[in-house]
Amino acid sequence: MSEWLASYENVVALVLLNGILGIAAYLMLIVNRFSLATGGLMAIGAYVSVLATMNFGVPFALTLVLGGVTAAVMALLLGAPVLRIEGDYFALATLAFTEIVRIIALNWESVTGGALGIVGIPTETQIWQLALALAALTAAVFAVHRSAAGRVLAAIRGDEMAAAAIGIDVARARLLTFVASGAICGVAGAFAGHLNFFIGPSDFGMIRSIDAIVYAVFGGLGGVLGPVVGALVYTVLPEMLRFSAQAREILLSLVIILAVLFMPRGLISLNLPLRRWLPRRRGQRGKLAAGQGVAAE
Amino acid sequence: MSVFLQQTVNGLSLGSAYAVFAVGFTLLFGVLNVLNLAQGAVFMVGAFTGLELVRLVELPLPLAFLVAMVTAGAVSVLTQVAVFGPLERRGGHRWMGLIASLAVARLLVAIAQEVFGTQVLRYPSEPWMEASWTIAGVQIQGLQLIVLATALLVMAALAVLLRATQTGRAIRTMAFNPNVARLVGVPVQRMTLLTYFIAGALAGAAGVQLGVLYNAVSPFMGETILLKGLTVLILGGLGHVPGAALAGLLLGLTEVYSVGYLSSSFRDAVGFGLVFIILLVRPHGLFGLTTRQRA
Amino acid sequence: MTALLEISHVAKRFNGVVALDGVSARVGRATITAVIGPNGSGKTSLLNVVTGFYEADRGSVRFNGTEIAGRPPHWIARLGLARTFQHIRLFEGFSVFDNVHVAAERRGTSHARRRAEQALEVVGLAAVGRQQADALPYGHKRRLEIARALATEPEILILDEPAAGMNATEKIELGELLFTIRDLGKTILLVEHDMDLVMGISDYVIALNFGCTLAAGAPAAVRQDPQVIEAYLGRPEAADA
Repeated sequence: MSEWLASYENVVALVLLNGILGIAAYLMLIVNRFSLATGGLMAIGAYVSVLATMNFGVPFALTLVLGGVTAAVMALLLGAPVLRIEGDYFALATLAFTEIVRIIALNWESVTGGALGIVGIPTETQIWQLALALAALTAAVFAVHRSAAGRVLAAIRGDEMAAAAIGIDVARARLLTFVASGAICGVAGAFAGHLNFFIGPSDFGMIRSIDAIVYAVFGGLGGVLGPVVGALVYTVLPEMLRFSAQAREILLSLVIILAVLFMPRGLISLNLPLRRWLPRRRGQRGKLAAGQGVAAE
Repeated sequence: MSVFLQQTVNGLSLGSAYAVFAVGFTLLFGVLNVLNLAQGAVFMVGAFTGLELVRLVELPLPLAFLVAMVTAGAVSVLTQVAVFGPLERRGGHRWMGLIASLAVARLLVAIAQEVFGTQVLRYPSEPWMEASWTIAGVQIQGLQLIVLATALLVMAALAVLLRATQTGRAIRTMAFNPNVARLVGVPVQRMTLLTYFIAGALAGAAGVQLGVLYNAVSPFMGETILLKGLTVLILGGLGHVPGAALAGLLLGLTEVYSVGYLSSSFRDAVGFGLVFIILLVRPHGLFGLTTRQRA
Repeated sequence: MTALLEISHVAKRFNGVVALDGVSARVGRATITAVIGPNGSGKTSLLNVVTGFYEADRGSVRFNGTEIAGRPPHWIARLGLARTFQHIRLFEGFSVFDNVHVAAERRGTSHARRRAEQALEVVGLAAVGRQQADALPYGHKRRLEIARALATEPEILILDEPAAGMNATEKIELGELLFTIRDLGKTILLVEHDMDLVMGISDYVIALNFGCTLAAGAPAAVRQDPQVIEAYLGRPEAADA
């Protein structure tokens, strides 16, 4: 077991980290917003926490909080004006945000080390910490889904105008969700920053944002386990395709295309034994109306 | 002053290539309401096709340019037939389309890596590319003139197609409302494929133009242009084709000016900064409606 | 008659097209008031202005003396104005009960389940609470929307063409339901095409045409108003979609 863990430690850490990011993206998707801010918010969490460690010797646990809070505040500042923007515009505005963060990280050399990044970071992040964080987050989102607040989110997803007509402040609910998602991205960034010896601007670009959405959509938006399963498969699959390093990218993209075409509700829609532990999509409990794999706009 | 003029010349030639790419990107969005993130990869396919035709087949560049356009157009049509079309018929959500287009981009980049490797390749130099004239202290390269001229030519051809032909009317009807188009007998499926072809061909043209202008072709060159395309899409007013052409030129100019007067490292930030400001000032885009008006 | 809702000189235009051209109207407490008029006369626009989905260009809307024009929809809903939509808008993927429950929770989570069940009982859907709302027959979906609006405990219920798509029996049942709701002390403002229904249930009728008030008063009086007759003869009902 320990031997196995050692040889695959990096993959396991990535699966857990990506699961956390997948949930951050999932939260925005279930309120009908395609956020490409994940990478930028994660970068903010990573740089803030790493700089706190390197320059001020702040304890690791505290840098996690610091990363999460800074990213959440950033999400609040970004979200307040930008969330008013309709669907596609919102996606593009958050894309611009992530790119601006990357460009600042690239050019503010005195602080971020520029393109060379920051090296010699103490590797504090442990697998068990990531596992604990992911488990806690999954449980928290699961609990939210079953609460009154979760029903508010599901109502927004179900029909925004009807939600407003029964007195739900759609803009406020969405902003709070974005702030929560930002905090998660920030903590994930802090973990990622202390995972290896190094961070650089290219670690947190657009690709991070897009991958996070892929985990969620690929896994399925039917419940919080969707993004986790999506992150697992999407992270492990390239490792499994190692036998043909050359064709790996090609195979991987073909798998995604086929998955999108044939499993429009995500991996979760496959009839796996796992499904018994997932929230019902329809029927008696129906509460988790987020269960409709694909949301209406 | 001559520095300013010099940069204007540089900016116009760069911006005209951006405009060609962005016009295709915008056309897809405006006519079919598709945000096709594979468009950057199609651009890369065009650049490689042109390069290989010049290098291996020793085709003259103008001919290679045309063949590259057709090839990129064909690849674009293929993605519609194989992926986006079936996905739409299955009623896939818009987000699924975005994911699929990213996967298509990844696939094309992976294939290009497989075939051409990851090294940066260059167009063989030709005498007219090297030629340059100095007028009033401003150096104008033959290359820049050719890029600007072809860009204007391609966009003029598109304008004629859209404004003065039956086909163009059909495409514009679809942009207005696909259901209306179907009712008045527009062959929607064929026009969809044609729109994909035009968008792909424009991306391919821009691929050759920028490949020659930067003198660099690589499998990853599509990522940067895709971001530029998105920037222009917003600056020009989502789906507004003449707006995109102007915004493309504007972006090229601002980038070159910002390199000249600020610092080269902030070139990319300028475009995104503009996007941000535009979205904040006009949160629904230049031509958007608010939800509250859609009840 | 003290007016619960007072609409004064409300105007709204879209890209130069006039939807409402200075409409004024009063809705009395615990009455049923109907807004009628040919298609495009501004009925739905008026409801959208009152419920905050459109922002009026000018004019005022007072509810219980509070100015609500220009306020966002959720704020207006919390104040006690609940609405339904011309094209049914239920929460996708929700069960019948959950649609109403989430609305009841807007007035606090305590006893929300019981209040939701009560709202379902009023409209006669208590027995099918566990069904998926999407699977309900059309007439029941309309009733469910009314139940969801009722669950927010409004003072005024605003209905946008509640009888659209209903058959004759369903319309009669709807009329009875609206009487029941009024007798609970609620005020009802509705836009409706079906003249028999409107004339049968309304205490007060407002006729609009081209964004202006054509006539207002008791149903019998409005029906005999020559301008109203002309507006309708000029545009027969068949032209309405």
